[in-house]
Amino acid sequence: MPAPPETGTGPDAALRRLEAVSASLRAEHDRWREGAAARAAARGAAARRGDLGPGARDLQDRVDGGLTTWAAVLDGRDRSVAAAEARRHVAERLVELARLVPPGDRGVRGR
Amino acid sequence: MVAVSSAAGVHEVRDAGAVVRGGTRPPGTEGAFVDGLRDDCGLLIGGVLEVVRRLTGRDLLTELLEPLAGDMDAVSSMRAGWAELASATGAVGENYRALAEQVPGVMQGLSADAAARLAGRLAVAHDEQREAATLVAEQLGHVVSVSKATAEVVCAALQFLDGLVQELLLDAAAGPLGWTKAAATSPRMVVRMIRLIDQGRDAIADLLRAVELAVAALRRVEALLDTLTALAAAVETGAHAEAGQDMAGVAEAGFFGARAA
Repeated sequence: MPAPPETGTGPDAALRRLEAVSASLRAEHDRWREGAAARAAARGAAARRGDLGPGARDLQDRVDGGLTTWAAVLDGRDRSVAAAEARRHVAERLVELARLVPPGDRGVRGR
Repeated sequence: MVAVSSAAGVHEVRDAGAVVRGGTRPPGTEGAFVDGLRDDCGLLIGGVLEVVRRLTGRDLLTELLEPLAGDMDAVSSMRAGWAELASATGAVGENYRALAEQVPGVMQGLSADAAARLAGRLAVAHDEQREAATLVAEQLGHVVSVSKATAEVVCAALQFLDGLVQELLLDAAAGPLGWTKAAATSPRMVVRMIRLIDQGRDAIADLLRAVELAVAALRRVEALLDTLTALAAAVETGAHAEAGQDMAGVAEAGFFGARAA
């Protein structure tokens, strides 16, 4: 009977590594989520005060009044002028951000 | 040959066919878990695919979801089939060993000695087959386990990535005034997104390595089964030779199944 393949870098080691990565990702995601709720509340408060401009205040008022949702604003279901303006802002910011990504991190990399 | 007693007889100690009776393929039991995760991940990807592509040029579908498209139910079913085969061949081996021990009770002489030796050799050959089939089952089981763990990493990464994208979009939707504050943290969020994609890809690389290890093990088993086929042919038991060839065929099917996964 031939000896089983080496397991030092084999499936058992891979399994342990993958389980550790899963646990680490979930823990980091949980910590991030805790902060995200506070950040969303702060963003909403700033929009209501008008700190983010009249467009954001208008949208926040409509969200608070149950007339729309931020998801509808982002995915285009909300056809209002303020929502369209918000989507234009998003498109512009994404272009700006994409310019900051190092070229080596762009596109599918071979392994 | 000398008959000891006309009333004496031999009997099988194990019902070797009990495990595999019916001839149906055992059901896969692990595929639903991976399929469920993949479906969940697919829904998440639908919402962020285009944003991530525009931000990073990375394609979540081809990098993270498509590599998980292997049919783990099929591999899981193969694993169960090899485990059944291991159990059945082990039982046949036990029967041959018991037969060898029972020979002196029903006949004696040179022919009886030869018959007992032949039964003993066939018992050993079946033990080897049981070990080989067990190894194949274990390797396929490893592939299924690593596949599940990989799917969990990919899903965890995509869930986190989805949250980052949603927050980034809300910051961006707040307009230039809202973005001023977010502009400090947003590049870091994009860097984290890229790292999440890389972590998912690393997990998939682990899965591919696990499959390669399983394939290497199956190849060694295939070589072993060739040896067993030769042994079975040497003792002039045509039926066993055919069985050995069948095992090699099944090993090949397992090999292709694992590679497809």
